[in-house]
Amino acid sequence: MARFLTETIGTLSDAGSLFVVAAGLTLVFGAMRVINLAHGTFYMYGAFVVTTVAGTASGLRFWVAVVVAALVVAVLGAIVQLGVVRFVVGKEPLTQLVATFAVLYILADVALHLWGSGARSVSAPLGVSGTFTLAGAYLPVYDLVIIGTAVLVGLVLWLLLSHTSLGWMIRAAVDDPELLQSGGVNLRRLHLAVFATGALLAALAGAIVTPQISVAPGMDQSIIVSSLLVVVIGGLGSVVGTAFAALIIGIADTVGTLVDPTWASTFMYFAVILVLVVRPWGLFGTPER
Amino acid sequence: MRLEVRDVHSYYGASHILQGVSLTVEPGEVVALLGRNGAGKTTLMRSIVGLVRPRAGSVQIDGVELTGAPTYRAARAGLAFLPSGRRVFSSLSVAENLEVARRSCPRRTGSWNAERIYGLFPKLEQLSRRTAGYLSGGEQQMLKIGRALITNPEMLLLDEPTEGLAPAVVDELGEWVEMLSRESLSILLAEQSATFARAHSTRGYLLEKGRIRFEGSMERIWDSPELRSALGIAARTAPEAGPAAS
Repeated sequence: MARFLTETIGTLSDAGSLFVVAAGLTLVFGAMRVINLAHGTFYMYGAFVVTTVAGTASGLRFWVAVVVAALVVAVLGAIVQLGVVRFVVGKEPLTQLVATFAVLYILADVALHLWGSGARSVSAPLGVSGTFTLAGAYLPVYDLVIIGTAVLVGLVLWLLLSHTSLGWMIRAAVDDPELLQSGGVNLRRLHLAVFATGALLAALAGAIVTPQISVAPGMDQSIIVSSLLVVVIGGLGSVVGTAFAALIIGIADTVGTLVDPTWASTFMYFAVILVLVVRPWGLFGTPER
Repeated sequence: MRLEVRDVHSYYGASHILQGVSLTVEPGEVVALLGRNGAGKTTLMRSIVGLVRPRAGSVQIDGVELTGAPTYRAARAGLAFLPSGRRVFSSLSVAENLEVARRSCPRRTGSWNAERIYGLFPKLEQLSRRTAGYLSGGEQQMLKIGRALITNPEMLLLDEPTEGLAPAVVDELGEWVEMLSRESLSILLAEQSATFARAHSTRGYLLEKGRIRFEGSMERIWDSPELRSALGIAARTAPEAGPAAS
């Protein structure tokens, strides 16, 4: 029972941060039809900015650092949108992949110069550090922070997309961008808002996981692979699908690790292949017209 | 609103689709744009609103240059483009579709609001919470027109509005066009179905292979066997109709 609880909370926490990153990726794909490989970069920058701003102090300053990281990276996202992505919207997918892949590499070099190649770490702020016991299991308090953040992000996105006119516009852009723009919407401005929001979500995830990981170069590439898996399984453009898919990937990873750690990734990819054989457009996606 | 298109040349990739098209729509006028499939009617409309950027020529509304401006400007200037087919925001409800349309042109005011549109199309009010993707063809047509009207436009560009509609809905559509024309909206009506265009417009242009082949009254077009054959209407037999409802 204790073992089960530990694994469950750990899985939910992993799935939670993965959901927040992937939600940003799927939002951008849905509204702009761009697969942004530099999305992982925003995640890594979020984490690096936290290590800089929070320093070694582990109190209120950590939370300030999380907010600063999210906002700074949202601005970085806006710059990437205006400088690069804007020119590849509506172009061949291959062009988009190459362009955003280039951004990933360039910003990885920039990060090396800013933060060096060593690993950096941040400790969880007082109050949410340490463990608590439940039914005999020792559980990290900080896992609850990550799970809570994911739930909150999910709720906010749901409210935004289903109850605000800005959210309706974003969904309208998913349905038919050309109709939206001939109706009078400045699509470029909407894209800018969506792309910056996507970057903000990636950075928020990167920032919030810093107490549990070592922040180092390479984070950008490893997270983009798993978030792409999540987005593809969930159905490109679907936020609900992303939530389910993050859980599936999290569970597959945990179960795989429990059965045989050396085969854990194989296990995960089998889950992906299985879903895609049955529903090539993902769990909550729609078949291409 | 007066629309003036002058010597517009548009391309899709390397193919020269519009080869110097000029046309005017006077305030309050209903003008037909006729031509076979592939003649360039849709490209012309898309060039007017900036979805296709003309390589040469100019598009002006009320003397103000619109050529090369981003597409959203045309709508904000009062030029509503209704593309052919089932073009509504299919994942949004009817009410959300109307609200998005209204917010897309926030500065355009006038007598058209959701209430008045529901008055014109009571069916839409009953279905206001229904997801637009699940509406019937006729209902989607109502929503398309409602989405355009709620921005209080001065001119409508209707691209193939009768395409795929059951004959009964085509009749209704005709009544709506008449009603809007009485509201002194200018309308440019692109149609393959010459019968519909003839019934609701006074003047027309015949587009052939990207050039204006003829312009003049609908009677002249209708009476000329040569123009009728250019339109693909068999000489003086039953008028060509849209896909028949079975």
